[in-house]
Amino acid sequence: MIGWLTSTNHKQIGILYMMTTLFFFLIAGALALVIRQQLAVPHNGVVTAHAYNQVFTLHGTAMIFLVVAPFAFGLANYLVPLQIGAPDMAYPRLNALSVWLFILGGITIFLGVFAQGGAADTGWTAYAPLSTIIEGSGAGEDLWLVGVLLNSIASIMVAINLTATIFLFRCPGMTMWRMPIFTWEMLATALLILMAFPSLAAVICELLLERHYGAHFFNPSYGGDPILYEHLFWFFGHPEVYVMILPYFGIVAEIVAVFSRKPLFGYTGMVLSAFAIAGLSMGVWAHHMFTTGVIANGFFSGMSFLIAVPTGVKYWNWIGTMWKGNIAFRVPMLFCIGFLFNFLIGGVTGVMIASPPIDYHAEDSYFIVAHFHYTLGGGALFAAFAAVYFWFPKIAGFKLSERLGSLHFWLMTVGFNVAFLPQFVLGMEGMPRRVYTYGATGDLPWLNLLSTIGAWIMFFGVALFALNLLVSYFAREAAGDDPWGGYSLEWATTSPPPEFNFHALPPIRSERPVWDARQ
Amino acid sequence: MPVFDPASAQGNVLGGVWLIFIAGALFVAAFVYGLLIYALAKWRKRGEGIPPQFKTNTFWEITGVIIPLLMVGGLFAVTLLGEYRVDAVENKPYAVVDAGAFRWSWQFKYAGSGITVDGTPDSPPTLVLAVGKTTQIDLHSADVVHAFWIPAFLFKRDATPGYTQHFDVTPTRTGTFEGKCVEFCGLDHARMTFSVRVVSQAAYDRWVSSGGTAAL
Amino acid sequence: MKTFISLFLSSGAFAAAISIVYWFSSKDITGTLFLGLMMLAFAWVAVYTKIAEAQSDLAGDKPETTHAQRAGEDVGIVTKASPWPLLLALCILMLLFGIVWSSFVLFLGLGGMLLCLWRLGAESARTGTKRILTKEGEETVT
Repeated sequence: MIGWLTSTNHKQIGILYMMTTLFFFLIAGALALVIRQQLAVPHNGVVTAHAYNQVFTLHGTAMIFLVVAPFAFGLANYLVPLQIGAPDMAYPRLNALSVWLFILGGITIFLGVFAQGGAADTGWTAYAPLSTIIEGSGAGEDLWLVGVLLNSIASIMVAINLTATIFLFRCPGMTMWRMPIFTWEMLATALLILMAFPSLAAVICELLLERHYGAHFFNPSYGGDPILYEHLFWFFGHPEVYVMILPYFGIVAEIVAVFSRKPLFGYTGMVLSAFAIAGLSMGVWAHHMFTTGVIANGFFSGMSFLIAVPTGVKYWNWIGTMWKGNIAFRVPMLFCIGFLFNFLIGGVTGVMIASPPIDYHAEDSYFIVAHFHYTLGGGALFAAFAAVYFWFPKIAGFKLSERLGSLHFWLMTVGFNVAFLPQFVLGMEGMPRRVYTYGATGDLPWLNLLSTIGAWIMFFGVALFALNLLVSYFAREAAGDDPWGGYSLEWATTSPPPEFNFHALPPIRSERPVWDARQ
Repeated sequence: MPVFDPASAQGNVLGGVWLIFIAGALFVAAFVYGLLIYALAKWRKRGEGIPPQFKTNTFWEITGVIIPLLMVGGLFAVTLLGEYRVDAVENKPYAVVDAGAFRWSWQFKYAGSGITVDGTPDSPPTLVLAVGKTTQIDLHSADVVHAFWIPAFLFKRDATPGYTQHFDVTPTRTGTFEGKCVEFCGLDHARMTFSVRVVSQAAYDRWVSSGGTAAL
Repeated sequence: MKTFISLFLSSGAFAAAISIVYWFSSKDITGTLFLGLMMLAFAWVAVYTKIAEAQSDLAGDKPETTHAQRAGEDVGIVTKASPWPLLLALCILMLLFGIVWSSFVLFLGLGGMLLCLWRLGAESARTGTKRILTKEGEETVT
């Protein structure tokens, strides 16, 4: 126990990160079920309006700040030093500090549940002036702000650490153009974090100053400007969207290549497209503000459309990787295929809402809810499960059950699409997001019920995943060093790896050193 | 479904943009799904053989950049044309309505007539418009960020404190439509609704000259 | 190294380009300032790395090297465990709680932070595991 509290080893810290995200994933998933249960029928009374507002705020906050992004940080913590042949991260103690700030931040956000007036209830975007009104929002909002501030500091630390590690700690022969694609995508992610997260930290500090020290950054009666809040928040908020997807692009690229028994098609294009996405995503923040009427809509719309090009390149290269391959449908590959099918829907609807005339109708409706769940749930989450099934044998030393795994995959796929496809229609028919109730008009009742049924199917999928962890833990089917025929250096060491990762390294002459050594 | 059946002149333009984008999305989805399913079915695992280890193909990689670039270029043009037509504001609107958002309802003031309608979450207000005539809405907020959305017109605009927004609505058919606040604004956000009554020009004039008391 | 510098330079150039385009399409000072700062941040790292490059000898930048050729090289000290990061995190939490609720807690957190930072500084000078490259991989020397 003391060992875990004081460890600065990147593998233990990575595991701490991932276990914490699993914990918060289960909580946030349970909150999602509360949301769907409340919306199952019109005028429902499962929870009150006040409770519902807290539930969706905590669901969004947890999924974004405590699950999807940090799972990638945890996996990167574990994998990046292994993939580049390094003994540890560049700054091990900074690494430990970041994981503890992240864990304490998560706990702080949820402590709000016990505060008078309940937890934060202003949505994960916490728009000012709604979030600066002290009356009616008590300590819960402050705890939320402190927690998110800790989270943003922790993320910046992770980014600094990853950048330095990738830059300085590559082993002999591991030039940058031989790095595995996941490491590349994490480098792009780290640069995005370094540019975007300070804006979040700043805006949270401004909210705290406004709530407790009489500042008026966002209060128009004192010369403040609510649009300034939206600018500062989305400077962070849009790059954050790509912080939550670029690592998962990398995971999918690695897994698709291994299970097609081919090298990644268009490696250079994959790297360049990651940086193109990262760069463009810094210039699209106000496409979340198209309906404010005070934004240069043309600029932001054009930049947003451009992101479709490097994302298209990624799809092209994933398909190119499978082309003429020898594709084995193991569980990690199944989840990657699920990712490819789901994320495409998120992608094409993303191009739709890059257009302001579409947003004049779709913005803040369930169309948007469906869109970002297709990217973050059907996309990132499916890729996260693929990563778990793929790297679990390396981390734990034993395999997860394939049979339970594929059942988990099918339940998730069916449940996810049943839950979220109807939401596109809900939004187009006029259902706003963040409402605790709705009237029995049009197709709203049956589509909402369908969506709720899908959520419950996903619940059983996740339950199967938990069962799989348990069953496999007791079965302990030894994995061996390289169960899948992997390509990158983590497969050249034991499962789990020794304290400083490698006893011996193969020579590195391409981006697939372990494949080269096998031939 | 309002997207296929908008009830305002601006909504007709926006609905056209929606149709083009939906068609584009379906086309791209069908194309990529086709490629994926073909690849997965044709090259599923058959034995332990090692497939050809090609890594690049300059022609196809460049094609993979140019095709999406052309597509989003076209969509961007559609966007700009659509937005230009919807954001345009007429110089001489038939009526001007001052719409004030507050937690958690709306206040509608009809310029030049002295009619003021205040709503509450329990009795949402009604916005009255004349069919075929352009009404300019001056939108503002008294406290936090709200948004004014009439799904049947495919249009919304944020009500940001400190700003007043002007936009036109020109209903094309009579009837009653829903209006909603669509930017989360606190406890009773879900009940911050209003209804839109679109009536004939004669009925509208009668209603205005009676000070808002005549039956619609 | 070269790749790294060109990465930062091209990111900086991209930021410069879009900040100019943004200014002329919006005349919005907030966003232009943001993009301008981003350009400066990238340029700063690129210039620093360019200067630091003169003294560097990164094994990872030499495509033809293997571990065997670099045997005997000192990797430096790797920390294995330290209680101070966790304690520092707790003190930062106290500091933030203090900012919101109580200046007493604020100063308690601040004091704790200084103590932790001092201990972290003292620790890095003498503890950790010294590691040296060998023909096969790496070896711990302590």
